[in-house]
Amino acid sequence: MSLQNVVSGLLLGGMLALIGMGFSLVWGILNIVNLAHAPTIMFGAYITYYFYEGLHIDPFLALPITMGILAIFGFLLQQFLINRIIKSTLLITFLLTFGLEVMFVNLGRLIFSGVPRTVKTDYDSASFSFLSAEVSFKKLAGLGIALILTFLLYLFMSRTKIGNAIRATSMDLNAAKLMGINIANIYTVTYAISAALAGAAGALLSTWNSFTPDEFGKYNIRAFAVVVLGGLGSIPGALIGGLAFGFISEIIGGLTIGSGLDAFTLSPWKEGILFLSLVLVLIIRPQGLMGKEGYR
Amino acid sequence: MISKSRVGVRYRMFTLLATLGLLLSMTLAACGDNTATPVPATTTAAATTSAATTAATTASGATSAAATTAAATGKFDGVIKFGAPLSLTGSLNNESKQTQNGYELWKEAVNNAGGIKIAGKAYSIDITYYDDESKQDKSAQLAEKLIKEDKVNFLLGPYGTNSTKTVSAIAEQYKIPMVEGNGAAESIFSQGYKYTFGVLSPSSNYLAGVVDALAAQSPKPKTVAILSANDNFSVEVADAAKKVAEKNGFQVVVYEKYPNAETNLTSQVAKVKDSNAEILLNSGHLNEAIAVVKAAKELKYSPVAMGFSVGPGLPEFADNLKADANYVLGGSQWTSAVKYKGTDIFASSQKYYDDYKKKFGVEPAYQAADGTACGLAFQYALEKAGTLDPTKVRDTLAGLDIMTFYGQIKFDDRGANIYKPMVVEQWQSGKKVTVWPNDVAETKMLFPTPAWDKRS
Repeated sequence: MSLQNVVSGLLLGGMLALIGMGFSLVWGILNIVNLAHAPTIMFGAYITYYFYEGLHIDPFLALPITMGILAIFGFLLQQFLINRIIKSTLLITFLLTFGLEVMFVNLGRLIFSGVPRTVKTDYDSASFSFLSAEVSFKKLAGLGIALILTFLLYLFMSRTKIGNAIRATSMDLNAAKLMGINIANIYTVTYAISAALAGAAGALLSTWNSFTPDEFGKYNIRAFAVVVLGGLGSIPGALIGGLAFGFISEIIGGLTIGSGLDAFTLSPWKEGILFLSLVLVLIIRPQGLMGKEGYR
Repeated sequence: MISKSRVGVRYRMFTLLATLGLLLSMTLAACGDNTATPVPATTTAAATTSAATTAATTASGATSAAATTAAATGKFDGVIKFGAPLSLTGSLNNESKQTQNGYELWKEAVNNAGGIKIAGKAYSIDITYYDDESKQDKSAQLAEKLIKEDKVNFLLGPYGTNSTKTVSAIAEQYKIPMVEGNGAAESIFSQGYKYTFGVLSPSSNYLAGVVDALAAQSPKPKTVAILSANDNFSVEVADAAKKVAEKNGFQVVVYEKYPNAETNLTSQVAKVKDSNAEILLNSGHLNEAIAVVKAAKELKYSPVAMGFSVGPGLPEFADNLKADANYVLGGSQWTSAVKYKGTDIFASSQKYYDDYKKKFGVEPAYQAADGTACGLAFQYALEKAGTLDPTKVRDTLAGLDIMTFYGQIKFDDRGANIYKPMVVEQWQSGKKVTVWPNDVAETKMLFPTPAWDKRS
């Protein structure tokens, strides 16, 4: 373990927080485990890629456009599809998003092909030294954006009328209805925000490593872990959960006991250990690190 | 209204169940596939789309069969039927397509040259393909279907180590010889099977060429770090690389495995950087290879050489890394630059390259040459055996020793071709050139790799 691992963990954590936030929002408020979240990240990555390759727009400049496109995508998806079955049991909504994921990934293979892509900018690998660690500019910018979006979302939820309505809906559906809140609209707005956040994550991820349409499925599982760690429906929770997940992941990856070839390393079992800690959190603190018991 | 505590309990139950479900499915996905299909959804996805493709392929298979038979009535005395389950859809689709092209190119060349001559009679070749959706179990089922229903005479290999392994069991069971060119793991050949032959260099050779090539450089580097994905094939390659490195007098300072298909490899590369290893070797897959190079640059780690088992051989490697791909080394089964003097219909790599490019419009990757070499092995064995009897053809294959455009094809008693060396390629100024072994190389290896900040 070194300072480098701490830095990498923090940078990775910011990304995971961003992914987890959108997932948490939809789960907490619409009560849907949204497996279509990962393909939305995929769309974000490919939109950024085509903006960069086709129109030479910098991925960071394209970020608001990508988020906008996916907000509209999320809006339409929720308005015309998910809202129709939102009152069904969890199993039905789960099945629908599962089906959507399958469809979108296949659509991705069809449109984008399985050829690996990356958004490779001029400053792609630029980094600065911080004590003994190297800090990548683009990843640091990614962390910054994740923090800004978290803050904006927090402000939106606590200071605006729609934000308050969204929170009211998640706290008590019937009371919210009685207060004249149009639940369907609230759901649509929430889903659109979640899709925009996923799009932002995809846009940032596209500059990290090469990707294919099949690459993104793992982020569903990671988002799930982030949400469970941090606490469902909580914005600071997603941030803490994401940072914790990224941190643990990098620390395990960098952990070496002993030296040379006989050293004991945990790196191959990284995923296993991560999810074991997740199960532990569920047993000891089922509401998550930041969640409130019984509050959804 | 439901009370708060009940909601809490229900939610908690569901969360637990869902976590378990996700964990389970993740494990299944991890066990099932070599090349990363991380979520069950995508696996199922392949299943849904490919039903149509399978139908299409079968249909096209049928038409090509009809065409050949029509031609056969005039020119040929009979048809030899080959069959191959291939990954026409799914995660291995890209590479598998090359294999299919390799088989097709061989078929066309042989049929145009008058077919295979067995005991004075000329036979045309027909190949039936089925789509295994990049799933090993499906490959085995389809191999069985090819043997039992389509009554193929012989099997050509599927794509990938996992599928080759399951199909080899079917070949053994029905005593139908299979020659394969895309399953390199030693574990395929250590099963004691008699009916499976691999024309390609087995996994132990994948990084051996790179290590040998580096051992011959001056000043000779001293330390090596090895990173490996923790799937069977990659670990075999990495283990063998470690042995070869130690034999060549290198000191292996890091030997680390990471989860298969992981592309966030900064912590692993940081560890290598801390060890100050002069050489970084990676045994994994394309996306991981790209990730390792990117992480090395980001962490300002400049080894004198970087070598990969899989990655640099594919054009996508440089498409993604641009100039950062330069100086990177990769092992390859075959390149169009190698200068073997073959006795086969293609005879030279140059002719193979030209024929392939003419037919398919793209350059052949080694996977294509692997496929063609499988056909050549069968062709020679059949002509020598003078019969279509599977057991006799197997015996002839076992004793085969031929020189082809692809290199020497000769099998050890396990059925592996340990006689053909791997070549080493290097990216130089945006072009991939063959730099090792010396007698087939196009140009000299660029060594040592300059530090990241000293590159133009």
